[in-house]
Amino acid sequence: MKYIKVLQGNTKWIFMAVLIAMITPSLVLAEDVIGSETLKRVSQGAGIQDGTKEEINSMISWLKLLLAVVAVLTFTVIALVSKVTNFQLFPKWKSNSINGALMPVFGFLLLGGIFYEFFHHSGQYLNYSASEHADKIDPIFMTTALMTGIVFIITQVLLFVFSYRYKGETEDKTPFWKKKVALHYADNDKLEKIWTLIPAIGMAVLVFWGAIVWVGVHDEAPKETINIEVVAEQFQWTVRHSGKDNILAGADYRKIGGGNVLGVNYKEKAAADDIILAEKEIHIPVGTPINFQIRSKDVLHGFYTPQLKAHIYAVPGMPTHFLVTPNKTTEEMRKQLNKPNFNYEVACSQLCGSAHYNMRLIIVVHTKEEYKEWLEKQKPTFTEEKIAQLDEEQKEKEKEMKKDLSSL
Amino acid sequence: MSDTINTAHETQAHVHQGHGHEHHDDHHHHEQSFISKYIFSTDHKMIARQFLITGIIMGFVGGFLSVIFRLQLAWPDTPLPWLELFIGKWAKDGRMDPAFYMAAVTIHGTLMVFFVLTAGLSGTFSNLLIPLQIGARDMASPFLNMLSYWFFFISSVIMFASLFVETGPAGPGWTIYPPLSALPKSMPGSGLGMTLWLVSMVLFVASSLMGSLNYVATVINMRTKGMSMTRMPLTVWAFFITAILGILSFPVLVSAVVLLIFDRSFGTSFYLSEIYLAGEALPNAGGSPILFQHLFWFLGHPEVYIVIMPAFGITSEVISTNARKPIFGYRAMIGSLIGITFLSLIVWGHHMFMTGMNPFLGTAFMMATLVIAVPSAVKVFNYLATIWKGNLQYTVAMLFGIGLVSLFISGGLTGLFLGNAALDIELHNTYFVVAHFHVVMGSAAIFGMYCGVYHWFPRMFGRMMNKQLGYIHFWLTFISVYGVFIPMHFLGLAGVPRRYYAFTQFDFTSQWLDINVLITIFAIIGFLAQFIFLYNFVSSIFLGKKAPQNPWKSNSLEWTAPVEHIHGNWPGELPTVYRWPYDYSKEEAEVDYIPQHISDEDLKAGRKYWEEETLGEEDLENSEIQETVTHHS
Ligand code: HEM
Ligand SMILES: [Cu+2]
Ligand SMILES: [Cu+2]
Repeated sequence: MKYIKVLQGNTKWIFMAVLIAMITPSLVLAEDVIGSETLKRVSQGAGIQDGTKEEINSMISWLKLLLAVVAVLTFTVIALVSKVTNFQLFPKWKSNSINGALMPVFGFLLLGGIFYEFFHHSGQYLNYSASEHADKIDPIFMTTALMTGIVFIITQVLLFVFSYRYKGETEDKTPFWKKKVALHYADNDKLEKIWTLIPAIGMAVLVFWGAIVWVGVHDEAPKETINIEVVAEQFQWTVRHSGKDNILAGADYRKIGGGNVLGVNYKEKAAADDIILAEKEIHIPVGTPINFQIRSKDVLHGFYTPQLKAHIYAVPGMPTHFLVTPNKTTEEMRKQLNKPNFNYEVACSQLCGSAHYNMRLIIVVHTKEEYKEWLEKQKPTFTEEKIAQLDEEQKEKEKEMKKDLSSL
Repeated sequence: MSDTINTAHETQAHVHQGHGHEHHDDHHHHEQSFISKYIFSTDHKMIARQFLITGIIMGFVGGFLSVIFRLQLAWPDTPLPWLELFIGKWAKDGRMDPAFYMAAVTIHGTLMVFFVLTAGLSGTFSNLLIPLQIGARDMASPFLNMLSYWFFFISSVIMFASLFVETGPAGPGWTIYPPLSALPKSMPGSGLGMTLWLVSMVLFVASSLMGSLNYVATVINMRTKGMSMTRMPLTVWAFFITAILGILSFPVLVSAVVLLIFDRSFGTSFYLSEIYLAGEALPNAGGSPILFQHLFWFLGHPEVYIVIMPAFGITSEVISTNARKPIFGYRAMIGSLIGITFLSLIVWGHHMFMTGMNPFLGTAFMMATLVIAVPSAVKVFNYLATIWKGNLQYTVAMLFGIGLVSLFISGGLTGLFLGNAALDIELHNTYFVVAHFHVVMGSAAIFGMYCGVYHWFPRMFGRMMNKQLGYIHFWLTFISVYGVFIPMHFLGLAGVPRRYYAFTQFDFTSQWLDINVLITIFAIIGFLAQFIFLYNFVSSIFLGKKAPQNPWKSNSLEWTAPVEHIHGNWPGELPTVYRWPYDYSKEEAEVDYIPQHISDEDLKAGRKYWEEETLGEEDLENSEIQETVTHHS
């Protein structure tokens, strides 16, 4: 009993002492582990020799100890604070005023943080667009941001200010429920109508604007498009350019295999000038509508380029397409962003397996002249030689199938 | 004694006399066995505790998984040897396996959405509060209620067990889109782990349906005298409407799952067509993976409201009580719940704008989606009007309630970006979506859950939680929640896709590596803060100060039932209700609240319905000291 009283009298000091007692050994241990030569070597990619393995093992046991120490000490402190001591961060009669005052402080930091971040990093996501429909989407984004931003500020400020302004007065030590200081005000139909109507109008504006642009994005492809097929599979993209005739030959998933990576009906006339690109790069001219025809060989994938704002799933069994007219070449974009190494990147947006994070494809947007030059240089994939080889493969396949059947 | 109505003393007296009124008093004569009292209990209050504790355990498992994968995102190139401690072969030499990353994300999402926020939140509070707040002895079918918990329990065990399967737990994301989830060859997480996931979910839906049917039946049939629908607390309204929504939408998930099981195991082609996988062309033809998404989101979207509406109900009640003001716009609050329910059944397509579905459908879904923002906005304005000119009492529950409002504003507004199909072109499947739903669903609903736990803990366990620890818990959680999710919006605006194992492979993603470290640090702080709650929760169950009859001076009926739980809730007659639950700060009463069971005559006669001594004056929070002190001296 006596000890408890002594403890209670000196709670703050005890609290500090325990904290220090907890932090010092943890720091020392952490320093040991983090600063260790082994870890440095390993993290720099040096191979793990037998000796290092042992060191790592011993490190692991140190870490176990560290974790245990931290865990135990944390709980000791919590227990001490809450149970034995009388130390109160939020003393009884002040808890309303402290929490109430913390609210606007929090609100201020929150709003400040958001606005700082919005402008600080704006270079990394605003003024980013590089296609015709993207330029139509951006104003909707900015308008939505402005409208929601205003609503956000008003409501959050009201919330945090009210939380402070109307915090219950308790320092007079009268129980709150004996004072009738709150306003009994339960209903106001007019107000309800107003704040149903205002958001409804705002929404209507956004919906109609959005719908117009959305429908525009999905308009029928104009005649002068370039057809490019992009086929997704675990875990890469393969690009087929439609060549000079601008027609992609049909394809059949049962023909995939061997030299025919996309299962193209290579005997069709349109196949003659199709080009399956060796590099993971798409080449397109600026200012021309490009019709990306997307297929998937296996599971769902997502064809997504942030700057060109092209986005559509790759669905097995259901070819999709997306029409984009790029309006800035790669070079122009490099200058605009002041990033000499910039490239339009295509990422996979729909989870497709373990290496989903690693399906990179580059789009090179050329000027029209450069593009022509580039196209001249490409050789069609299905040359006579290639066709002969594919025919051979096909025969082999059929033979094997027959064998399989007869062995049944 | 004669002018005291239903105070602790009186109810206590009834308990001890314990005869004459109803058969429910019987159990005072013969004790229940441990098994029928704590395990296969049919008492709604015990079942509520079972749901809550299971939910909290699942929450910690889910939280732990998230910290593990956040570490990977923050330090993708640094080996963390001690990871091997926790996840063994999935982190050889401290480098996490990408397959495990996906599995961790999947199980994290599943546990949080279904096991914590659906069962843990709805299950706990519907069970606890529906009978207590409408003045019923128990659920319409206590036995079905018990079954509902045990189906949930088995489903949780199966889901947890799947973590220890050789090929790892399910990995195709919580939305389990086929073909990935249908073809075991497409990823390790699509093998046995996936099978267990599907089985677990079927049981889960069964549990949820049993619960929901029970809630609806109870609310419709078992209200006490005077408890008309328009006198029900908003909590009960929210649980009631949520249950209806669950009954309408959860069965569709089962159909989606059963078809998927057929595709996986019996060679059908509901979702499969023209697939060439692992060097082999599969024979399936004619199916559509998009069909699955329609079925999934027909539940999936209502599901997010199944999660948030109980949280709304809880905060409405808590904010009103602690603002000492009636909830503003009671009818508008109910109206918006009903509106949300109706609309949430017709907006599912906004998750599918980019699937290649007909753009006209996209337009239709966009309109419905933005309409749903209107009732959501109405709710926010009503909350604000409720705290305006209030006498705000900062209990921990109140803080979490205000936190919910703040988070719901933030997350609801980002929904307006996503609901716009034109903007969704750049935002779909990026971190913006992750940020949106974590703020509006993850965080707001969790805040609602904490709000309920801190508020009704005295009713659940008969003891008080420690306030000091509660405040620290709240502020750390509030700070870290925003710290984690605000930056994610900006990653999303730059197009960083979600479910990426590392941001290192693309130029436009790798510029965000430093922000990832910041997010992870906040995530760790947030996770550690939950241990403060855990400690507080567990220790208060055993050591907390004995709860007074009505600790927050609240109006609803549950605070008239005796603190010591009895089967049947009230000894003697059920209370009669004379008014709605929001008569706070009214002229005609001596104190600032008039409980529902007080009639106008009682008021006029000046009867006392409050306890002078226990409330407000004493330190509720220093419970444990006082107990130790008296013990020793
Ligand atoms: C204010 C009205 C809201 C609107 C307009 C809205 C809109 C949207 C849209 C369009 C998406 C799909 C984004 C995409 O995948 O590209 C989405 C995703 C999501 N929303 Fe909302 N939302 C709203 C409120 C809520 C609420 C209240 C919750 C939950 C309590 C919620 C939870 C979710 C979840 C969980 C997802 C992501 C699911 C996934 O893909 O894993 N939303 N929201
Ligand atoms: Cu992918
Ligand atoms: Cu939705």
